[in-house]
Amino acid sequence: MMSANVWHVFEIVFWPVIGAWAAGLVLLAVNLLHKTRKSPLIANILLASGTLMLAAFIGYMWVQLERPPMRTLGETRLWYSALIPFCGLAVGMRWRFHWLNFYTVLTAALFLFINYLMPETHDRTLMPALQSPWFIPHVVVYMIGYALLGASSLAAFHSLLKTRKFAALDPGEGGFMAAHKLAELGFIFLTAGLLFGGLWAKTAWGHYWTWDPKETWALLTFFSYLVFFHLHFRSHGRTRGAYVFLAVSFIVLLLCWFGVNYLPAARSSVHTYQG
Amino acid sequence: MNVWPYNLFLACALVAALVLIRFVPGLRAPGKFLSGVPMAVTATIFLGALGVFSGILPQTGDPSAPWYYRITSTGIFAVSVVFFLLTLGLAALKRPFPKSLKKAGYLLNHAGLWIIVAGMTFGAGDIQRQKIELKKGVAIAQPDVPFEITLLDFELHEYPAKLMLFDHYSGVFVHPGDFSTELQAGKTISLMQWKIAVETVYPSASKSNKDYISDPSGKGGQAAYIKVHGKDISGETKLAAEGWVAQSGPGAMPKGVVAGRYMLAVSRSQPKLFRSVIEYRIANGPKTKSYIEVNKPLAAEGWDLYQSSYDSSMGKHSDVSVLDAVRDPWLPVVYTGIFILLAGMLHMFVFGSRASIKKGAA
Repeated sequence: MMSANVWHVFEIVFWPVIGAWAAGLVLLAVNLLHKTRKSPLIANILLASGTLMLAAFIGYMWVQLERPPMRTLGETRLWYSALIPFCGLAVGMRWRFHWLNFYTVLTAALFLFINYLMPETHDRTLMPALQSPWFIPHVVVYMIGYALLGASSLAAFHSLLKTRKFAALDPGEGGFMAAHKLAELGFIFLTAGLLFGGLWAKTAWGHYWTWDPKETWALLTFFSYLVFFHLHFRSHGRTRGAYVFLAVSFIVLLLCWFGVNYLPAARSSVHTYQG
Repeated sequence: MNVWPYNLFLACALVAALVLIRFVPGLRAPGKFLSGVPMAVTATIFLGALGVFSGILPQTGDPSAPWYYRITSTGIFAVSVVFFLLTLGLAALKRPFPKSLKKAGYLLNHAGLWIIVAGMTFGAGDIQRQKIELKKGVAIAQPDVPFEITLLDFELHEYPAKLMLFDHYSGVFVHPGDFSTELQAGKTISLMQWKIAVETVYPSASKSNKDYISDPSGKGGQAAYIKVHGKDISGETKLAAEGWVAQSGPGAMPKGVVAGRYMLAVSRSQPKLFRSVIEYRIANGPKTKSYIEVNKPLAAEGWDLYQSSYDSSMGKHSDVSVLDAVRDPWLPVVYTGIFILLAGMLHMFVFGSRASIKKGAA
């Protein structure tokens, strides 16, 4: 059997994905600027097809590596790039807030581009601690959560830009409604990921919570979103403060996902699987 | 440190205090203040701010270290946790009897989180953890752990080894080996100007004269027979070298294949699975044979035994296996909290976060 070079296939798949996304966004921009009432069907199909191509590549990678492609940061970025455009599409169709697609697809493209610039040697090995029925639910649930929460921050950012500085916010505005709903959904997945992680840690390392830096940051992310929900609840979504916390929360989330590796505490982390 | 049963008394006292503050008419006002959103936000940020220290600075268990290197053992951390439990507990008791399933989300989320944090906090002192270093054939009994364990065998399975290439004139690695150079029978590997056909692969091999043979004990190194083809000056493909490449094994040196100034050799391989075959005996009872593997602990007598490590310098020849023995009597409390919180999240997924707070909200 010739060994298939996963990286080589990624280089080939990369361009059609980017191409479909770019074409979709251009078409969407034309559609939105003409303020047609019609749903941007062809643009949506293009965006979805680019994303499905990426999803198919992840499936191919899974088969070739003979393990779930969820071990390295680069691999989790791929999942994120495939999941976040779907959040944008869903919000566009549900709340007619099609602008979100620009943010979600550009974020996905940025992450994909980072992977393109940082080739990984796709390694088949999976250390014994990761060989568990918890591995897939823990990571998938987290990636869905991250994608929803990323989309939520982007939706809030867009609507905040459009609102005058001292005006009361309109919680019924599409962007804010989408931001809150996405944060709520994302938070559910985030919490499930955190709890699954605890249950897994118990079977793998003997304790559900060890104050490992990654765990600490996951808890801080959870806390940060908790604060957002409480502030949002109390202000009925009318003040900027709550949304500022939504932005802070996403920064904490990114610290948890990537930043931890650069902090002094990372020396003692068991959550490094770069090999 | 023996904290039992004082930690249970403390937990009961906290619950009693919460119920008193919530239901004694004279304490309604402070109770309402303590359980409100501003207090919830303050308590969460207070605890979170301390968490930031422990998330940035490496933490140690050494009690003489400065406080910011051992956050979770400081007094201020204890205060922040108690404050958190106080406001969260009162919040949970705000809506203690939901009238319908639709209105149960608030209670599930607040009570679930409270039970988790309370179980972790009050149960921390009762957790027992011991490292047990086993040596093959020796029965080990440790104080506190109520059984005796003997390591019968230590098994380690490896991923396929990788072919690597180095310049044996300069000693420099040209290719350290990766996914594409994994040794699998029937595969052709492209490295530099060569096509390398992998003919036979033995996951465990021993040397027999000039050849290698499969070693059924599983303790031998990996070996493969390879044929290296390259183009000569005229552009014709020719066999450049062939032979066995092998890892070192018991009483065997590693072996490479030389092609010109280069040498092809086998890298060390990553462990795929390791486990201890053990026999344990409780008091003077019968011996029970069992396996302990990473992610597959063994439960006995209220203890859980985990495969922790082995003598990695010996790899699959290790006759040492290190287990972690853990006893956590408060685990059912924490798990109860986890499942209640998960139910709360499911509730939020189905009904939305506002269903149990607002009147008539969807």
